[in-house]
Parts: sequence; structure tokens; C-alpha cells
Amino acid sequence: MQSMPVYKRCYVNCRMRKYLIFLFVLPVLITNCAGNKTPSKTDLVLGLQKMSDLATAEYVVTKLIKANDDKTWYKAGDRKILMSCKASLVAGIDFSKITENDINVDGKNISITIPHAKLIYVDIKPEDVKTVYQEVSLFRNNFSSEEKNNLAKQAERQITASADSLGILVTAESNASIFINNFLRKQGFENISISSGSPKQTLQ
Amino acid sequence: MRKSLFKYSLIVAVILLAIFLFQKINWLPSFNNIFKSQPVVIEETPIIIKQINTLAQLVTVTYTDEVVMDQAKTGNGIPSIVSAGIGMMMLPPTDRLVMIGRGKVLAGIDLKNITSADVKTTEDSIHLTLPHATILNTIINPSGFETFDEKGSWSETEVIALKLKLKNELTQRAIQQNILRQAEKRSKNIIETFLKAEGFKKVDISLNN
Repeated sequence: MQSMPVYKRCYVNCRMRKYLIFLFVLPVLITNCAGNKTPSKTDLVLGLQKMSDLATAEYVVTKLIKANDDKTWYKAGDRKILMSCKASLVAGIDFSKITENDINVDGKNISITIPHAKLIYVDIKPEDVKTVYQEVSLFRNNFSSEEKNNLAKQAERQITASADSLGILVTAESNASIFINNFLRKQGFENISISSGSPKQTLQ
Repeated sequence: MRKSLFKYSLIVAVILLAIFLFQKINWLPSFNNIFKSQPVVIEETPIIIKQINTLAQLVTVTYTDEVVMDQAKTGNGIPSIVSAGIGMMMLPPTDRLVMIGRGKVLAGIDLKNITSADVKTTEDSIHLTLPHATILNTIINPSGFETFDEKGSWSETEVIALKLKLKNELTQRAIQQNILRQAEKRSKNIIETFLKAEGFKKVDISLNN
């Protein structure tokens, strides 16, 4: 077999090396350029803050928390848990959004446009999250308090997300109208007209 | 020889590239996650409405803070050995639970009990008597609790007791920050603005004794 001249061998080696470097570096570049964007955690603003919400409706709801810990392939045995959870959802209107422009007075007649209702808060009391049943296989540990709390967090998210579909905002708006109507009647107004105006808001 | 080495390297590189790309589009688990515990996800279960209440609470101030508390008790594990002077001492095992609670305290006035006697109007002036501000709620939801340290075995009742202590501490801190006085002041301002927008020239608001 005829051997390659030295200069040609060197040329082929250099080209091969270039290709190899390119092939090994490319995936690393792709993965690095794509970057792992982690959502920035919203900073908690501590201290006193002003509010002006008129809470008009409270829904007390219950939910079962069902979970099965059998997704990790190397853990021998399963764990199941069933917890009950009671939550209170409170909704109302932002009272400060009723301005002079939203009120029309003509003698004993008054018409007011109130803002749409929003979810003010969700409250899940620690004593309202209870373990009803749990089954832990021999090789597994019991659910820790942190693990149970993580399950309750997921339930909290589901409850918060379902607020609108429960109809609490409609009830809150209707209750706000009734409250304002009664309040105005006590002030001596006879013909009262209340309507809903500005766009809907959700809990942040 | 060199040619075949190049060929094998090329195959390896292509396989590596494919693995990286499949991981990027989540078709394959990343190497870090192969031995990672999978999160326990709860099932979607229905939410049942048990009660509907009518409120008339004017929430005017919120106090947000985080509090830390710990609890310790004698556990059932192995006693720890510590050095004491020239000798050694055996200490009973200690179970410890340290929790952080982030939440808020809401303060304001309950307008539900305002009666006609509390509202007096004469032409363009109005006098309104409001109830005193109260703590309307203290909220630390599951998302606000964090277990910083958990050693030993803790019953649900013990964990709830510690969480309630955290809530109580949060309420006390809010009171120390004069939340009630701030809430009363703000409530008066909000109602006054609303009444003035109705057309009343003179608005006088006092607090119920």
C-alpha cells in the first residue's frame, strides 16, 4: 500500500480535527445558546400597604387532594395519600375606582357605575388541610410535613384558578350593588341605578 | 485506520448531537434528571361549594411579612454524643421542626352593621358613624409555608400547632405596626372621597364608641 506524503497526511488530519471539533462543539453551543430560562421569583413586598377593596362575597369550598407517588422508577414500592382541604375565597370590588365620573346625581336620583368584581384573596387555614388516608409500602417513608404541604400548594393553585368558574365574581358584583344601594338609601336617595363598568381583574 | 477512526468519531458525534437535541425538545430526560425523584402531582378533583356568605368588609390596609418558628422535642432516634469538658456526654435524641411562614394580615372596617341611625344627612352635608377597624383576616396559605428543617417524626397536629403559632406571630407583628390605626385613617379617607363624589360638600365621619 502506497503511503500518503507527509504534507497531505497533515492536511487530512487538520481537516478531520476541524470536523470533529465542530461536531462536538455544536451540540454544546446549541444547548448553551438555548439557555435555561428560569422564571424570576416575584419579590415579596413586606410591610404595610394601602388597599381599598370592598369584600362582598365569600365562598367556602372543599376539595379532595388525591396523589399517588409511583412515578420514580428506582423507588421500590408506592405511596398513596388522600387529604381533605377547605378554602375560603373572598371577592369584591375596588372601592377607590369609583370616581366622580362614575356618579351622576340629580336631586333624589343617583346612578353609579361600579368596577367589575375581582378575587381579593384565597384563605386555606392550616387546620383545614387534613390527611384522611395514606398507604405507604414497606420500603418507603411516610409523607413528611413538607411533602404534604407541597400537595396542599397544588390544591391552592387549582382552587385559585377555578374562582371565576365558581361564579364568585358574579355574586360579589351583585352583593356590591345591593350594599351600595342600601347605603345610598340610608343617605336619602330614592331612585338608585347601579351598573358594572371597568374591565374584570383576577388575583395576581 | 485513520478513515475508520474518523467514521466512528463521526457516528459518536452524531449520536451525541441527537441526544442533546432530543433532550432539548424533551423527548429524552436530561442526564441530571435520570436519578431525580419525580414530583408527586395531585389529581384534578372537583371543587365543591359548601357555603356562600355575604360580606361588606372594607379592606384598607394589608401587612405582609415573614416569620420563623421552631419546635423541638425528645425523639426516638439514636442519642447524640457530645464532648463536655474532659469527658463525653450522651444527649437524648432531639426532633426539630423549623418553619417559615409568609403571609398577610388584612385590616379594615365591617360595614355590615351600619344602620340608618349611623347616617345623618342635611342638604349638602352628611355625618356618618363608622365602626372601629379590626383585623379582618390573617392569611398564610400552603404556598406561604416553608419547612426549613424537619428532623424526626412530627404528627399532623404538631405541625398544625406550629403553623398556627406562625399565624399568631404575624398578627401580633401587624398590630405592633399600628395596622388598626392606619386602617381606620384610610377607611375614613375612602368613604369621605366616595361621599364627596356623591355631591356632599361637608362630610363628617366619626368612629363608633
